[in-house]
Amino acid sequence: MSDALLEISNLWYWYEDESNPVLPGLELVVAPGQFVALVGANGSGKTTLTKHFNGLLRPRRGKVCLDGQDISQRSVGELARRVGYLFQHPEDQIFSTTVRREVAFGPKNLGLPSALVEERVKDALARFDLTSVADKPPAILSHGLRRRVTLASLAAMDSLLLVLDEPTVGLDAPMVYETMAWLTEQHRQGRTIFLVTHDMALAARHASRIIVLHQGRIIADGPATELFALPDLLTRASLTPPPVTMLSRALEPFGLPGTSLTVESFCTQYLAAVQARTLPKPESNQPSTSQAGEPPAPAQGEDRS
Amino acid sequence: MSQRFDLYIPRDSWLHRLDPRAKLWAALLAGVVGLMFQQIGVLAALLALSHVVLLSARIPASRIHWLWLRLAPLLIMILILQPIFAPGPGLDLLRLGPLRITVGGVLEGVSFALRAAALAFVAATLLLSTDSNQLVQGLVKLGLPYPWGLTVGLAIRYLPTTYGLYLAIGEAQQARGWLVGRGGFVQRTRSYLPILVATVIAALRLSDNLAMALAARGLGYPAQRTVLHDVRFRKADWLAVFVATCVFGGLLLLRYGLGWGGEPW
Amino acid sequence: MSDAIVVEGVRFAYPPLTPGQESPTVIRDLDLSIGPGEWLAIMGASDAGKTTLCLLLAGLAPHLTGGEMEGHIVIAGQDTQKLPPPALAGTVGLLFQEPEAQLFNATVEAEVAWGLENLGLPVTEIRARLDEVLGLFHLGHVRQRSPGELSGGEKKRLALASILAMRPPVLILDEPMGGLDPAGRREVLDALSRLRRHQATTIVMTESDPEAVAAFADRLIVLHTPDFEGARIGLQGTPRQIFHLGDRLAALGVGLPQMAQIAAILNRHLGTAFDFLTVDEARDALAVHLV
Repeated sequence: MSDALLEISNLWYWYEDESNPVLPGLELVVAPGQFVALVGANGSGKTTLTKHFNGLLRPRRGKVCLDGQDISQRSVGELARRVGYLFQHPEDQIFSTTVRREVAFGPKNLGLPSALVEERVKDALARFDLTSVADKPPAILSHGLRRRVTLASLAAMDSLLLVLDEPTVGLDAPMVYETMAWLTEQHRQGRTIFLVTHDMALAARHASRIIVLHQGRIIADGPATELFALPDLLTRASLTPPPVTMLSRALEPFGLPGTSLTVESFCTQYLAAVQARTLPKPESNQPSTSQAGEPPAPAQGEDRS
Repeated sequence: MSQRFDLYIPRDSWLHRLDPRAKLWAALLAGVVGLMFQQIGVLAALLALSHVVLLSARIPASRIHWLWLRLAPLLIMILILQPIFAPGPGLDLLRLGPLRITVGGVLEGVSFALRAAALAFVAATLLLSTDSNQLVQGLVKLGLPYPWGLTVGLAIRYLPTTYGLYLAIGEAQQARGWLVGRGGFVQRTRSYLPILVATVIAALRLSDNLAMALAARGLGYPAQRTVLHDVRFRKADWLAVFVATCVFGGLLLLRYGLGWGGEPW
Repeated sequence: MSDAIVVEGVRFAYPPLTPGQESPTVIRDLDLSIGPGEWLAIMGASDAGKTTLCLLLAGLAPHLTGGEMEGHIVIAGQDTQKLPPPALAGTVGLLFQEPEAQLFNATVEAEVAWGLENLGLPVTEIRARLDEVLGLFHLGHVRQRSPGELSGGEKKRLALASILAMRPPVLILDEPMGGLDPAGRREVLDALSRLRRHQATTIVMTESDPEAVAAFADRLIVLHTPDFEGARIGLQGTPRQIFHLGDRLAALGVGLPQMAQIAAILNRHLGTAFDFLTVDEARDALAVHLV
């Protein structure tokens, strides 16, 4: 008896044409508490795969098990108890007359007692800074606020497995930060996260496991460091490692370890390597290539601690 | 990865090559026939004819099957409700308290269902074989001002898109635990509200953006509009119009001259 | 050489949601000049007014959106307030975020020809431009296909092609890379680069991805909304200048490209003044300290 959260065996799926399957016999096991990133080109089958997790798609052949149980007999509504799903363009799902009602929609569907629904809604609104607009109609709010409404709606479901389809596309830096901070929090609380994304930097930074899908097949599955050491594989799936990884690889001949995944880890390594060569603190020695035309701001180099 | 439910299917066939005006005329006449007659035989023949035309135009049977699947709920509803709510003449088939089903009622149900199916397939024959640009150009050549013709073309072109939105939103609401299509009639209808409201909102946003995109690309530019692929009437089109008009004339005579066909049987 | 776009003292507010109410100002005190052939990127927080600025620059606001506008916007010599949007079609093109709302013809060919038909160009001219533009955007092989069948990157290229067939000297792009996978993004950026070489089009692009901006933009402006009273330009300069302003950008909702993040951290620790933006520049600059 496995203690995997999600177990997919021999999953076949095709839309109209059996001879043209999107997923040709896929195998996947996800342990509880993992933070998984699913990457791959458009059309590689990422969304088709994840829609099987909550029953939106049923296998043509093969089996999907959640917590050891075959989910083929469970309805999508039932599975919503444990699987939370955030679609692309999540704002399209908004239909309620107030933000509060929109966030309450999910918990109410689960048949929770009204006191619990209220509590969940209150917490979700507070978490995403929506309390001040809780009684406004979501349709008139700005795009950023509406995105937060969808995140709050997801948070109120208190799901065991969170699936997010490209949650950071088109978002500005603070919203990306907010979204990923919330996900990290959920992960720390023991939930399993499945992040579908194109952003390799994001995947490298947050996921302990990256699955690369190419034409419906898993061509790589492992931690980011492993993956980025296989450039041909990434090219095949039309993916490029984040710039920092490319840089650390480029500096490998000069003695750096070579596969930094994040800016922080690269800088730590680089500074350590510089120290090791016991160079005195160098003066400014990089030729500046900026042109004339000052921005209406302080010049660079100002101390900003 | 998005599923497009294009109505138009490009094929190299006699039907596709007909001028859209000829097809519009034939479809119009066929539609009127469908409304004029209650005779089950005539309606069934019209339905069958549309299938013959579609298959000869190399429209795949799978698409016809898809259409039947979409029509089925409506047709079943008609077949069941018509005899119940409008008991017709003739022998009683079933008597259960206030409920009275007669042979006439059942026949009327069959007739109405056939009519609905026939009209749907007449429209389908037109739309499956004519792309939206051709359709618009056909309407414009018939005298409709370009913006009006474009409106018709866009309404048709965006039907599948709206349907796609509806499906996607349906999935999102289900993923939030919403149970669709359960329970009695009233409950079932109410269950579609969160999906319908969200779809209407999304469709309105889309149409707003579309209006701006149209203006930005010059719709309404102060010049006489030219056309890359114009539509031209050829011999085949005149023949089609002639045949359709003659058949229609004959059926008109049959229906109102001889008074036949107003009853289902 | 006169500027391609001149924005002078522009203030804009959308019509109020309920009549009689005050409507918040979305854009305030905007002055901007963009030279011909320049590639300008506009960054800023999500709701800072970037899309509104795009609509203003394309002349679609206030004509089609309603609302009040003060000031002038002059594009290639045309005042956007004096002409209705269709009349500006050959002057400025706008690529919207959502391809669904931009592609509505039956075939790729019909899509590209549509705008030219509106302009009333003779059919021979339309055919010539079709060949030119389909070649430039590598769409010749899908000429007769329905736009719905195309991939994300192809759709964007088609939308671009259908706008650029009209030969506007100015092109506005609202988040052109949204929803594309890395291959699609490369396609669009390559197509835009080819365009610049071919036609010296002035490009204005809103973008949230700092990596793309660092790689392509000549100039960058950051919109911000101090006191929530309308967006104005907070920062302006070349990507190299702006991206090395570190913390100030975070407050404005703008992310840094990874190379700039690295430069900032290392400068803080080593007292250096690195300003590299590309991996190659960084490698050259940093290798020096490792030998």
